[in-house]
Amino acid sequence: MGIVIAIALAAAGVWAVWVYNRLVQRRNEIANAFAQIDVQLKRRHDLVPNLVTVAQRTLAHERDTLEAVTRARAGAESAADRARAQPADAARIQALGRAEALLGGAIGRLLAVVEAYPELKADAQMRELAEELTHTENRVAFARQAFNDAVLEHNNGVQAFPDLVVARLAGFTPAAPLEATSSEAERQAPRVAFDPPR
Amino acid sequence: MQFRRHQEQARRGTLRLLALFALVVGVTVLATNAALAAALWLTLPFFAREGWLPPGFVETNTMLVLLYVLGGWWLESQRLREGGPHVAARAGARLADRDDPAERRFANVVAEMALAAQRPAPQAWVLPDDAAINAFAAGWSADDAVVAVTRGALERLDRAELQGVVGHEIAHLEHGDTVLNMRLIGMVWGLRLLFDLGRTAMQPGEDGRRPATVLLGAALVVAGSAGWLAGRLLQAAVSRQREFLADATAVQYTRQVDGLGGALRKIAAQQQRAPAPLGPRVAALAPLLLAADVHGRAGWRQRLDAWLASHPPLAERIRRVMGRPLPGLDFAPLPAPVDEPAEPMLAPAFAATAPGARRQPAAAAAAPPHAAQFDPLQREGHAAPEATAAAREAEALARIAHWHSGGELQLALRALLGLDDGSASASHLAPSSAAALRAEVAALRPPAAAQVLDVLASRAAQRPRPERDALRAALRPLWASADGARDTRTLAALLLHQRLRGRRLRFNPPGPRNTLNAQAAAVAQAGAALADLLDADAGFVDRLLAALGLAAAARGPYPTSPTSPTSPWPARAAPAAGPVSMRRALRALLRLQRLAAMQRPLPLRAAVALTRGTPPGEDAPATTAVLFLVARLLDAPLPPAVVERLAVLPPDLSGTPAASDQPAASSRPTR
Repeated sequence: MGIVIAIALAAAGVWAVWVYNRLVQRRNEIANAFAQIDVQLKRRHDLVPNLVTVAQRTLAHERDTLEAVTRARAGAESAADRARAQPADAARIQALGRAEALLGGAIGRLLAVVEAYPELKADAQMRELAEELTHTENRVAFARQAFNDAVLEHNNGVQAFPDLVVARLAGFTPAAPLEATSSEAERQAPRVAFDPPR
Repeated sequence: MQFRRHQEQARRGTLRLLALFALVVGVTVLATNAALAAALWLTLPFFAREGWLPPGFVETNTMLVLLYVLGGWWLESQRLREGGPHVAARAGARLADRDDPAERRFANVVAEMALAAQRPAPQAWVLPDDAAINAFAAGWSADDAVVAVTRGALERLDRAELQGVVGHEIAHLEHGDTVLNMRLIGMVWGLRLLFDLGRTAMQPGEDGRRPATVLLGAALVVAGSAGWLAGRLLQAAVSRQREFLADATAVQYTRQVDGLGGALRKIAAQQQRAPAPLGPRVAALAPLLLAADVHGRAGWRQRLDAWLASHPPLAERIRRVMGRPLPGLDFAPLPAPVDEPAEPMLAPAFAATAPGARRQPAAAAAAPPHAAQFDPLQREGHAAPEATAAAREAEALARIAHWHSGGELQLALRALLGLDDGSASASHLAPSSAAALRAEVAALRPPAAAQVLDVLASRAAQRPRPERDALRAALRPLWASADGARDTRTLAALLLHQRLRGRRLRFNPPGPRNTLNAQAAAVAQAGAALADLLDADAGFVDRLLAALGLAAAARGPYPTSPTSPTSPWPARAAPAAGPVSMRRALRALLRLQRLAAMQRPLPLRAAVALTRGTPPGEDAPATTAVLFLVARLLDAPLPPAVVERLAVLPPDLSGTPAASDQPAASSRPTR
């Protein structure tokens, strides 16, 4: 009788260790996915000055659009630095999300304006830059998606029944996924209306 | 599409089929044992045996069958270990070239989907010769994974659809489908070997009589054929389930159905309307492809094909991805310029960007004045400022730098060689674009025209085979008229022809036949043609031969006897002096191309040194163009005197490799 109990306890112990390792793996995947987003955001920040320089040569009187992009980039960089300093602070993460959404919107408006200048659109540098920006925006979007997928896996592990016990004992908590935006106004697609340049 | 539900379905289906496969192997073992036992009982009389079966009978048979089946599995695994790049290179693919906008976009898409799949990015390869939309993924591990896509897919799919296709292929890599399919095929091959063994055992010997092992063979044939057939059916079923799984995973990665759905619909349309079969080396990779190469057979063969197909029917795949049956999606015919931004991108920031018209004359007419100089449509509306020929040429060069697509290359090369008959049919370009293109070409002066021809010829050499063949066919009228003198177009045409054929000059070490001495006749003929083209005086050829140290032959325009006793060229009489036929000049140039590499530049250098004395006159641009073309044909470096008279190319146009260079990224197999 004692041996049966001992074997059962040993099996339970092995199972608990296995579940714990899996939970640790999933939590590390979340951290990795978040770092990936950081990398892509930094890449996007670094591309913006090039975009502004190339566009400035021709868009002399689209100054306000260019300035909006530059300001948005500065705001996003500072928000990213603050979030990197304390990644656990949900408020800083939310502020980062808002700043990045602003930057994305400003870049989108600038690229829409570029459509009106055929010779700027035909410029080889501009086209390469547009492709790189599109690529970077996609990378940011996919990095966020990968982060949310990792959060989903982690939450499944932490909240499903038998593993729930080990998770509570070891102190794992469900993580929060990234939302693209928290305000309803931003959820609506931005309407771009520009006056033909005079 | 509820992709998680579809993924679960596909995974469960796969497990069921794999269990059935194991069952088939087990049944084959039992059947082999039973059949061999029956053969044994029929052969040997009962009383000659001890017990029912000899000792170790069952074990030996079981081990042999398993050896065949698992041996097949092991052999395929070994072959797979050679890595994705080898498989891709065997199919005729090459690394994607980041200088081409379509291939750069594809490489970026691969990186994006790898992020979505949370995997290291596989290498991006391109199948340049196939117009069908298709793709495959190969590779054993994350390090040597390859995703390859055909040129047709690059040109016909927009970015979202490319993401869907690449997502599907990366899903195959993620789930290890390549490995699983190959291993299953290996095991089926092992089962087939059993069948073949039986058949061989049944074959009559050399004297026509049936061998003693015929019963044994029959037993193996019976057991093996059932196992082989069942194995094939199951392997095909597993492959189909994995395709469904990869489709659902692609939708998971892209979080939209229009990408993969649109690509599948375009493939369906292409297979119905203009089926473009894949090259044989790619078709050999049938189980790895995105969509099966369709070869319809009617009646019961069609049902058999359906059971044995490695891919599910396209209509069913579209129905599962899009949620309802949809017809094929027509796409623009080749060649739409691919470096124009296509559909709105995936990222939400651009969701509102209007996919606007490329040219907006109404808005652009009010553009600031300096913009009007550059856009040809605006120039038509405004009074153009008086621009010099050099400025027009500079603008033309800036725009020519962007010509990468097939239609532009076709029209431009024909226009440069004077073969343009005014119709845009060969290039499928819109008439206004074609007119603008012709205007750019007309703005080029001779040295720039030769340089542009050189660059565009290299670009055209990378295009798919049908376009290259069309260009080479267009050159034929030039060869027919090559007897005319002073036709520099034939020089340019020869350069283009050699580039299109992928002809590269080799580094020949000096031998008995390819030194300047041995080819003095060719040098003299080429020199005479050059003298004619450059309007040099009568003694040019003699001076050229003297400068090259071929003094013994400096007795007239053509040497009348070979210069060395070992020369293979027979003595020939000097033909009448007069304008040199270009055909003869081209033949001489072809002989000069076979000179030893270190001696090839010498005739050109001597010719340039001899012409430097003449002051540059009105013909100087034509002279420079001729010398440039000859230098490119001989793969010789340009003498400085020629270089300083060439046009300055914008950065996108210069830096093209010469005929003997090879870009490091591409590894095109010779054809």
